[in-house]
Amino acid sequence: MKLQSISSFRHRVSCFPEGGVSLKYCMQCSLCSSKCPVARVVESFSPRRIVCDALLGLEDEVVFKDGVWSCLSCHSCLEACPMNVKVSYLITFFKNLAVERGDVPEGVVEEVKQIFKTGRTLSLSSAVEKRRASLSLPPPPSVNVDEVRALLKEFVNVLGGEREG
Amino acid sequence: MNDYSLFLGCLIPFRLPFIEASSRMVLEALGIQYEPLEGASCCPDPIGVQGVSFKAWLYLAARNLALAEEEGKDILTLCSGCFETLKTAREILLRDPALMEEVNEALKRIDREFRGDIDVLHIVEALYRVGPRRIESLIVNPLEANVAVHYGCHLLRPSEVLGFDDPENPRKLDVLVEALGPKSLNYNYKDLCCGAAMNNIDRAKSYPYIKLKLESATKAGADCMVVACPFCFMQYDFGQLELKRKGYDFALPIFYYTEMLGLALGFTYKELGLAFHRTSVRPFLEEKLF
Repeated sequence: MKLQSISSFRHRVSCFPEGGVSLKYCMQCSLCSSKCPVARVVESFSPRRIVCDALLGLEDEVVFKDGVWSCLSCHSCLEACPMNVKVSYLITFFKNLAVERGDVPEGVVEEVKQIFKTGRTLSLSSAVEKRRASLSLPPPPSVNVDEVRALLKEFVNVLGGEREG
Repeated sequence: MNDYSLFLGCLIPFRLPFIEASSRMVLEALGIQYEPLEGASCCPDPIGVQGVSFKAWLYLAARNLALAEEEGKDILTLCSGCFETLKTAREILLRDPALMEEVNEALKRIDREFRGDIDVLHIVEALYRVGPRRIESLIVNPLEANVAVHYGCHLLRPSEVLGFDDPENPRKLDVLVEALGPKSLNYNYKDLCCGAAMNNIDRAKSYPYIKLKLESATKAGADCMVVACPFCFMQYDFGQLELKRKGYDFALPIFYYTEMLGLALGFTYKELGLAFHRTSVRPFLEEKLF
């Protein structure tokens, strides 16, 4: 039963399009952790351990909110890996899984909601509008929000921040 | 090709318009043609949005790429986040025909198609292609200063896809800075991430990254720092104000590269909107330039 769940989790990881299959090449050398800027600052953070837990199929350990969301996605780990394991993209996939469980920081939900609402992460404040005018800048290009929404319609639950379960 | 679709992104036009102004000015001064890309959305953010849903990130990036393909011009980005998103999304789709078909199926709903026939460049790359020597020949205000160059992450990595420079020992931005007169310093933590990705999670958790960087650059004798990304800019420029409240006193002027280039080409403090920086660049410029 346990073994089955290990292989089913690893199978799900391997289906992730950007580097999912690379998980199995990890030999736990720790170069990823030695190059990780987060590990320099946050003692408990280790990309090597996240990959190790994934190899062992320990989904609950891997998809742990405060763990994966500490990652800055700087890709130092991916660049350092002698086995071409796409560590940073694996962590992205684990963030996606955390979101499915509702483990997502509020600020990230807000950012995504804003994109769904306006097509962008930020809107124009009157102060910035004045600054743009003082710099002789034209108004920023427009976005067709309806197109953005139509394209993303199957993600509305995730992007709207609505949680499952 | 010397004619681009300028992808402005979110942070620059809506928070840091002076970076847009200096970029437009130097592009025009160097005779590089551009037209802002109409209709584009957020790139989207390669950390937050990709972290929420990789597929949604890919779909939206593909739409932005499709818009630029309709214009038939390569994309020029000012933000390293936009650069990474658009360049990696293009590559991911071109390498995976099944995924490209899926994305194009979705794009059909809005009458668009991703083909992958235009490239994505960061403005630093476009300026490097103009050539450091040609830029040097156009300078009217050479600058004598020690500069801490900061590349940031998303201009360099993943290097296999972005192909901007050697990720271990990048040189292009140093060379472009030195073309303006300054000396680019070696300093500890030159490759350290600015930590901006922490901001919508827990702002205070990004302070240690800012502090380490500023301490190290200051210790090495930097008169100022040059960055290539608006997120790095905001971290170090605005971040200095926040760190001051925590009792850490830095006074290191931060320039986005086109601002320093703009000064060297003869544009003024006022034209470049340098007064909008949160950490004043005035004392530095009075000493070095005026």
